[in-house]
Amino acid sequence: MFLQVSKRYALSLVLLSINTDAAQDKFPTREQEDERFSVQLGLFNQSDGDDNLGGNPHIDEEETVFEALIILDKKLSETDTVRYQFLGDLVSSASVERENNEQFQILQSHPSGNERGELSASWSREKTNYTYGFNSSFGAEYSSFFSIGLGANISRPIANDNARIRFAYQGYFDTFEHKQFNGVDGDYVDRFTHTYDIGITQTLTPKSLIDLSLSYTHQSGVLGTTWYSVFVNGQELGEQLPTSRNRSAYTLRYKYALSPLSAIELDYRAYDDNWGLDSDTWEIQYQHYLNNKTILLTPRVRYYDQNSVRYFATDFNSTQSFMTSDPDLGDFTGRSYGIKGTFFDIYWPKDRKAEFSVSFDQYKRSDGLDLYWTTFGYTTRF
Amino acid sequence: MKLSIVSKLIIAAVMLFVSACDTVAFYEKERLNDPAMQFDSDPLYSQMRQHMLTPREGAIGGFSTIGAGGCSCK
Repeated sequence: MFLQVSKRYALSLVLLSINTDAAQDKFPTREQEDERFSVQLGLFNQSDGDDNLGGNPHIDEEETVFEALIILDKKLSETDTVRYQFLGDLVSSASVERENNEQFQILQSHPSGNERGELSASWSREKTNYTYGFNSSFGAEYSSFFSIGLGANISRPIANDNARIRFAYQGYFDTFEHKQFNGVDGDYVDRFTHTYDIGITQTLTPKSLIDLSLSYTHQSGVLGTTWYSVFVNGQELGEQLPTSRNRSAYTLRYKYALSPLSAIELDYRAYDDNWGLDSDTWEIQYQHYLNNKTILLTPRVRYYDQNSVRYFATDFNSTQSFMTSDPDLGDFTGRSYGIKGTFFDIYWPKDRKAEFSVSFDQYKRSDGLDLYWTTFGYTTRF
Repeated sequence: MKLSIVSKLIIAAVMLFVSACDTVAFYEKERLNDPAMQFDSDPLYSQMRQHMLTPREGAIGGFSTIGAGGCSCK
């Protein structure tokens, strides 16, 4: 199936990124490590509330996604690393039925199509006093969506290596076919995204770290989801959203070592944009080693609270300049509970030293669009 | 709880001045070098998790996450 996907989609590549992974004492040191192979598999299922009335009550929003992420890191020299990455998605949702139903009797909830694939390659360089990188990417996926990305980043230690500051820019040019809710395929439309990040990680004490970051994003072009619709006095019309959006996120993270075997992390993010949406994200996670540090358990709890954009309503009484019924832009709160287990010193296949991970999460949304997901990870280094 | 503009400015000010802290010697950082003490110690898992969450929430950015653009999902 992935071979079929590759025939339909162009390769995306040359994504350059900073490799800042810390050396782990259970694996070869960074100086010894030449290659790392990792696989991450995820299975996500979204329900649509009682009687499919969750989120937008006019559409069926049930969805199941299988995702695979495969990465190969190869060290070219003491300073240079290359990364090859494949990301693939198989999507099953009501929109698939709509795409395949010429009468378009089933209202659409998610991208038309049930396959997405992306290939990328990365290069990074790490120097003694600073690290820098450039990235570019090209991607394609179902719904005739193409993307070109460009970015740059730099970081360096300061204060006798007790802090590290970073700055990054990432830009995307997306072009996609304007497929409408009623099955009419429009012309290709464009979207531009510019994101600026600045952050600092500071060592506070021998047992604690803090990380602060600010992110600003400016988007322009067709920013709505082309196949989405709204209902105005019972009549279905296309979603209409502004062609410009400014988005800001402020993040504070704190980590404290409770003991040689355990740590706790507290995260907070404040977000707002000029569409009127603002949100708060709170997360706490606890990490604990077991069995002579061969097992790491990480339970976590996350709370998300969002106020809708100004243009949101489930139903409209009259036509507005901007209208959306996208529940992901509406009012809701989300609570998620999960646990992740990482198992080190596993020898598989045969005598290859590796680590495995497995996680389970439940995400309960106040509008009924609950989400459950599980992931499996495998990493080996040589 | 929503942060006011003043609170956001305080965070920005903390970012500017926190680098003045210089209290931990290199030989005291053994515990900090443990993988469990790193933010996003499993970057692949974090990438997949944020890739799943970002399209389903209005907020983007932070947490070393992917931002907007680049795919139809965000």
